[in-house]
Amino acid sequence: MAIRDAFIKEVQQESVATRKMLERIPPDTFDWKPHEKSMSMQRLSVLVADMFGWLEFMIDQDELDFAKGYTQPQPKTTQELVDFFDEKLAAGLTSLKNADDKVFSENWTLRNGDAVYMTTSKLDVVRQTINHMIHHRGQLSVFLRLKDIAVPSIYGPTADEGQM
Amino acid sequence: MGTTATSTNNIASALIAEFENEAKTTRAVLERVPADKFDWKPHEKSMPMGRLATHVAEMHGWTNPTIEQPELDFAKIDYKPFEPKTTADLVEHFETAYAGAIESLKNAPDEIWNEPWSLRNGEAIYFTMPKIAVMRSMVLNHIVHHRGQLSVYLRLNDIPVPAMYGPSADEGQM
Repeated sequence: MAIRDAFIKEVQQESVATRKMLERIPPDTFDWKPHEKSMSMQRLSVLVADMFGWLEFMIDQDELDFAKGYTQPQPKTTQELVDFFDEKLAAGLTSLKNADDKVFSENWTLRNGDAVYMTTSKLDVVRQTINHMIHHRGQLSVFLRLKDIAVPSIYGPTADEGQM
Repeated sequence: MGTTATSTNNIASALIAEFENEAKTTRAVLERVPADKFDWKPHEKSMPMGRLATHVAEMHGWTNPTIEQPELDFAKIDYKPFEPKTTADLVEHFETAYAGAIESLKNAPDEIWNEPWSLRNGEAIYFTMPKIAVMRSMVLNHIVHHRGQLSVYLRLNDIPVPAMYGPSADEGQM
């Protein structure tokens, strides 16, 4: 199986639980945060929604330069949040579908002008981005729990859903 | 499961590299879970911190049955969750499970990864997937998921959160 096919399958599979979680976040919790040092519910959920979209510039470009600006939206409704996720997921999947295996051995750099944070293979950065999304989605599942929002089944049953 | 002279293990090599990388972060998180908070939970429906941390550690040990067996049958195992008394117990439980996972992976030739693997409870089959998908989702991604939850538990207890994929509010600022 081509590298891209394994990633496409995994991204599609992981996006099911991600979407289900985002669909449950009411706008009246967007400003809430569990701790003063935590991200707000809105910021964390927008980050989770955005991340599969990163695959587009990780595959199609050779770097991301923060000095050139990077902004994320501030959705006002749950629908706007889910629409943003759907748009980013579609963009990431399009880039994956067009990726030859050889693209994954190319280098990719994260920088802020002259300061280079990291250079690694596109294979590595795509892998890490999927893990990174799962990490923040795990955090988001605790945020949901703390706001008494039912937590969907992700890898197995939760206290609310998917009992075996 | 022995390898033959013609076997390659490119898939296992990639998984080992990823496991080693993620283990640094996992270790950093587990080392910060204080024993006097093992019973703490952020919500009545949540796992207590000690149980969640133990779960993150023990999932590394699922690598061996994924590679060496065609299935895991809950009806045939007598699962007793490990109950750490100290942070050192917890970290040791992780180190043992992690070392076992790396050992199993080292002996896994590429051809095993498409073999089917089932999770069942006697007659009830929960799923059957290729071993690579089990390793990917039920082990590696599943660890990252619960470790992410654990990072919020640390935050809520005013324990500094280590940098994970990027800086946290406490550490690793760029």
